Amino acid sequence: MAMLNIVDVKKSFAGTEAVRGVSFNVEPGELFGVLGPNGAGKTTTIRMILDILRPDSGSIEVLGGAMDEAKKNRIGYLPEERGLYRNLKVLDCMVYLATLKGLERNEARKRASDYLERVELGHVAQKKVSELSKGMQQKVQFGTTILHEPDIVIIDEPFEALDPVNTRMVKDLLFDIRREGRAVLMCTHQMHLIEEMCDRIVMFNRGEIVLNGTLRDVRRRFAPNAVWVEGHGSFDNLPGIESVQTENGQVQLNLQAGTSPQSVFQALASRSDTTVDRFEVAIPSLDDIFVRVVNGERGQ
Amino acid sequence: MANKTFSVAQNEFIKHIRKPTFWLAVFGVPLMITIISFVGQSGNNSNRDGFAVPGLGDPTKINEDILAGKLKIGFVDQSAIINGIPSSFDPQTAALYVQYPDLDQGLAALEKAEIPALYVIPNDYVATGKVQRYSNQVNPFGDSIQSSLLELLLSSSLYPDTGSSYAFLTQQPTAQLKVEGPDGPTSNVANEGERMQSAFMLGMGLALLLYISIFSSANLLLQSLIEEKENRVMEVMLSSLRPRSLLQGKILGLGLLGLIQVGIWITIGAVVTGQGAALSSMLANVEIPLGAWVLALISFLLGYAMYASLMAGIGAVANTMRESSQLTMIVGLPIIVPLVFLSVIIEQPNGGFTAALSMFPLTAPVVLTIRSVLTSVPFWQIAVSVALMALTVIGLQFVTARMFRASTLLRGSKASFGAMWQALRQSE
Repeated sequence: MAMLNIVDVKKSFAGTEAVRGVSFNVEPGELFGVLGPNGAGKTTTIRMILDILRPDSGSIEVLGGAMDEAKKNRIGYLPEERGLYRNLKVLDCMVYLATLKGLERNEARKRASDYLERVELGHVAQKKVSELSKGMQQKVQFGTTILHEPDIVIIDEPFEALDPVNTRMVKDLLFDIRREGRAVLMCTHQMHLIEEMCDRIVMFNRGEIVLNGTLRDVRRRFAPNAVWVEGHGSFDNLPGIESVQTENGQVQLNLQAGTSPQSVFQALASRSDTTVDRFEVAIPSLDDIFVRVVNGERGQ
Repeated sequence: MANKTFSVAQNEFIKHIRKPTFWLAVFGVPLMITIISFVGQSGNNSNRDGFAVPGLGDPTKINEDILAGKLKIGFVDQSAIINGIPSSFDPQTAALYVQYPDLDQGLAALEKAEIPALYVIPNDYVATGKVQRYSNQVNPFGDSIQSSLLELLLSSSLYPDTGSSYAFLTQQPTAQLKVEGPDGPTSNVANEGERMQSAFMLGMGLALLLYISIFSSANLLLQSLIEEKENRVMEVMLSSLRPRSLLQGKILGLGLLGLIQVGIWITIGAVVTGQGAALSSMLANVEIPLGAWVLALISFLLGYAMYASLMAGIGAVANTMRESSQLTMIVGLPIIVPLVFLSVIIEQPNGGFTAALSMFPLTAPVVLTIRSVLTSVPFWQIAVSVALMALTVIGLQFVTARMFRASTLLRGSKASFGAMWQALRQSE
């Protein structure tokens, strides 16, 4: 059973189509990335999943059926902008938001205290939220998202304002969730984190999904038939090479159809006047793919 | 879901009751009013002249009424307590009383409008303390003054040794009148004057209570909603519970807080002004049917739920308190409408206009309460009125819940009725 199953969902605001026939699903034990430029329809889709907004058409199944009040307790949500009561004490704020997810007050207090200790914020439990740094607030917010041990965690820019140490801490928590067979749907503009963490991604552009699949598949679709080489000597006149491009000391050898990277590597190795420091099949970064998709490319 | 609603209510209550600003408002407002009224009183005292009757209204106005003959009272003394107007009364006061030998002559004078009211002091007055009052006019304050004047005459006659001391009256509760209509306290015309006055006071009191509760709670509600929108907590909340549960929780928690605030204000007001005893005495003197009290309570609760939902709707689209203030003033206007038409409502409690006001949901809480004290309201009108109020509460909560959904989309747009309409459409 898919944790989330979204089929042909559409939503318009005042005649403008914000989401145009979006479909994807999220499986148990999956870290699922959602990418897209600002205004692409990601947040509207998340709000529809959470039942904050209702779709004009299409269907959204959460945990095997339509969203209901009981299922809201099985979802954790971290919005892009912080959603905490600035004038409440950290512990009180966490406990209150956890009770709204169905936790008993005492249990919520115990879990919140444990969480704060785990993320090294035990000393701020009695401080007001407004007294915390942005990074600390982010960790508190993340805690409120997972305190009730939801089956689905939906997080929008979870690493914002976090330093590398705290980023690692939150990543570990997310990996734990995945390991436990729960699902994470993550929106972020930090492509390297998507590349590092996510099993599958969808990319939104202008209200529709323009990419959907595993990271490996997506990157292959955008991969040129080329290899990147760094070294000394000449890279010209190699068999099966259509053209050679050089940029910042890196040479891209564009291969002719039917030429394999392996045959190019063998040809280079047989040359006595050329040394190779680095040889890599040209796979574009998610960053490159993002820019290209936003500019209208759909891949092969 | 009831647990979540309760959690929201509890959180709102605790969050605000811990705020120093709440307690500052609770005690600061009455303190300020007390200071202002003391300063005002000390300034006014030196200018007062005219006929002063303790415990009654503006002496200048009363003096004018007396000179115009409006306060003249007729009486028939069947108990033979009154042996003429006591000599201790000044001539101006003595001229207010007109004695008739029997009921028929008194009623004839009343019919010819020679007197505005006729009091009959029955044989058993000493045992019961009750008198009967006949009148064709409705004038809550005037009725009260007439009754006080008769009380003064009776006390002076019962206790001639003390003269017509006003101070004596305040110390002798046995001399206080129980004014009844000709057919006793249970008839439709029973307690007419006191009943009018009670209706007036109850209606006015309910309107003010509603107004103050709504605006003190609404202020907290707006603050809370605007804070939640600013902090994006609203979005987290809506991912956890239904918008309607959120709304109901807030209304419950902040309503309770508002009632506590108003309760403290009323208590402080009664203690400081010394009017508490007078008010309870007035209410004790008149028999308001239990049904009227129940209806007043239902009207208050439904009225509060209606207006609080409207205020929450404003909170859903407003970005700042200043932005919301204009809209809250407009939305609160219907509570004032019954006060504007109070004389019509009191004079014609079963008239078409009054009935219509009591069935229009936004004016019904106050008007229905006043009517139920004054007269026997047809059951079908009560049923229609309560049903319409209840339906309005449900409708407003439905609409406001949709605005909550849409509020996540409307950050940054200026609060207006247009924005509210847009919010509604976008949440479809």
